[in-house]
Amino acid sequence: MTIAIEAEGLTKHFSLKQGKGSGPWFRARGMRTVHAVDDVGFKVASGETLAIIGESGCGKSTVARLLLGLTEPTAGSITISGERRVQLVAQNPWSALNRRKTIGHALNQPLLIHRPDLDKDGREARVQELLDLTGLPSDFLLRYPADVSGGELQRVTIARALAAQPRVLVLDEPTASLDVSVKASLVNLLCDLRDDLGLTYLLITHEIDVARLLADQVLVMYLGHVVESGDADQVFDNPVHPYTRSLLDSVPVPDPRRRKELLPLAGEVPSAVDPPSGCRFRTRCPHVLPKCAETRPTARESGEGHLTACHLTAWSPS
Amino acid sequence: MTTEPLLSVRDLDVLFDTARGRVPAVRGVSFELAAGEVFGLVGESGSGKSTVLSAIMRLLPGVAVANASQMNFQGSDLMSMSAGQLRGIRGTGIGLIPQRPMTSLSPVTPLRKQLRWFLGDMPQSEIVDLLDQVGLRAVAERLDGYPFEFSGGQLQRLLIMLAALARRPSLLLADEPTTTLDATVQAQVLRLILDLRDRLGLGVVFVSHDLGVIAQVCDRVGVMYAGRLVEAAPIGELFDNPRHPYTQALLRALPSRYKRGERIKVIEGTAAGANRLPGCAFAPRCPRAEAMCREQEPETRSVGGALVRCHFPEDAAGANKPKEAAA
Repeated sequence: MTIAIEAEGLTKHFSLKQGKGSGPWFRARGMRTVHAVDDVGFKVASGETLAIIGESGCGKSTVARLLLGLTEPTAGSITISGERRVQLVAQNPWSALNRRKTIGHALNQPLLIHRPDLDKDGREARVQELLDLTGLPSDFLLRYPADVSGGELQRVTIARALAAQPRVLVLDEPTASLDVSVKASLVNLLCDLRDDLGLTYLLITHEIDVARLLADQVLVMYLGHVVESGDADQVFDNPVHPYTRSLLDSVPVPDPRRRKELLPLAGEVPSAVDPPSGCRFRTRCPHVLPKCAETRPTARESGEGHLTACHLTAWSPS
Repeated sequence: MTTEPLLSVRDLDVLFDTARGRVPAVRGVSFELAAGEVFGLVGESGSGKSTVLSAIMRLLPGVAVANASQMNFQGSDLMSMSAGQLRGIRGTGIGLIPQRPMTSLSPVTPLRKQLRWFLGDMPQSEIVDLLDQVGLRAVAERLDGYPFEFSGGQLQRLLIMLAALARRPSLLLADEPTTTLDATVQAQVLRLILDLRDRLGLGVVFVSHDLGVIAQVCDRVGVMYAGRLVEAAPIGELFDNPRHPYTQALLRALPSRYKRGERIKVIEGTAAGANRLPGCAFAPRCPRAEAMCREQEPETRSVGGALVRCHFPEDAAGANKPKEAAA
């Protein structure tokens, strides 16, 4: 098993300068640090999918940006083994494409940069290949982003990402805000492409049902920390960390026979500027202990290859 | 004796006048809502579900033409009301929770001032009490702040407070109220809406594209496709025994019904242009369509506990299932 992506002690802090604004939010703060990602580690085997799940502000998109080299880590490392070829499929295809240029232009552009060996005919053939791979008709080349549907446009961004023949795709909320039937066909496409091209995916998502279908490994993040990680079936079927349990429990199940109590977590995610000491989840945790405020729990095995960072579970038999 | 429904919509049509001619957005939609009931409207983008809410509020844009044989709220006809009468109903009789809390508030005005626009000179203690009821006690001290200083969940609860509590309406229209929220915050907001329904006996029309949310909160649900209400049924009935081929396809396309690595059964084709077809709008994508479906618009019929707009509802639903006794 070759490792495609490896992160070790990955940390990213952003400095907030003294604000120029006049609201109380600005006045109250001097020089502050946003703890976006703190000491995150994982490995993804080649051809596998790692899903990072968590809510807004948990740091999952920052991990994606670090992998893409769009921002430098404050500490630690994130590396792609072998050929460093990584591409991004962004959440919002409308803002990912230039609406004044045709879809053909969007697909040719990466070839001009990454495949200088190709002549015009070579590029044309490659563009046709990309359309075939993503199930798009040839007449799309002359169309503009505004003329096609959201699902089709997301296929275009996938085709564009594949143009440079990446080994790793970062999928940042690839199916968010899409309709059920469109989402289904995109998930199928992502499965097919991974199997046919041997791609490795880093999937950033808040959609648990999509993560369940695509992921081999799962990383659950909360406020910059990894709270639980492991084999997808283990994490989804036997979640151990109180946050993972709450998160999975708050996902509405499309089955009226399984109505949830909807007794959700109280409160909201605290600010990453001044995160809670010790375990960052302690301010909302229903099982909080005094020592949760004192030390950050270390990740321990709660099953084979299943790690949980929680004081409560650290000494429990399972 | 049957009591009068809180809301009764009969044969609602909405047409949009566009450069490319008249586009039917909503066609012949009928449903009723009782007090204390949550009726879900589910469908994909462009199916007309949000337009139905705008039509009930009489807030359609100028290019839209709405017609209905009946649209009664508490026994009075919304269609024939004057602008002044409608102002008396909006917000007071009928509350609306919008989809995006951030864009529904002015970004350049402190929240306190925006609350005053709506609440007038309500004493501060009453405002704090209202905030408390939606779990926003902590926000009461920060009302001089601007919307961007609050989280999406906080703003959405604030809008729910304005829509459902401030003027005590009896009908609440919720337009994808949790779509932009995180899972744990979504659960909080759904809980809040259900609690308010239980406490105040509100009737709720709940629009969503998320069948998970619909399954968790609705008592009855209507499925919309290309402007038509193609199926309406009690929530359990719809999920256990979907009768319209579109409902069946929609439920089959849910990722949660598949295991890792499996391929989802998708609905082939697209809904584009379906609202102008002469026959059944779903016919081009329907596995069971026959010549008749492409030519003749199906009428709504009652099958079991459901209302279905399909020529072959029982065939579609009952292939491997026991037939329901006639209702």
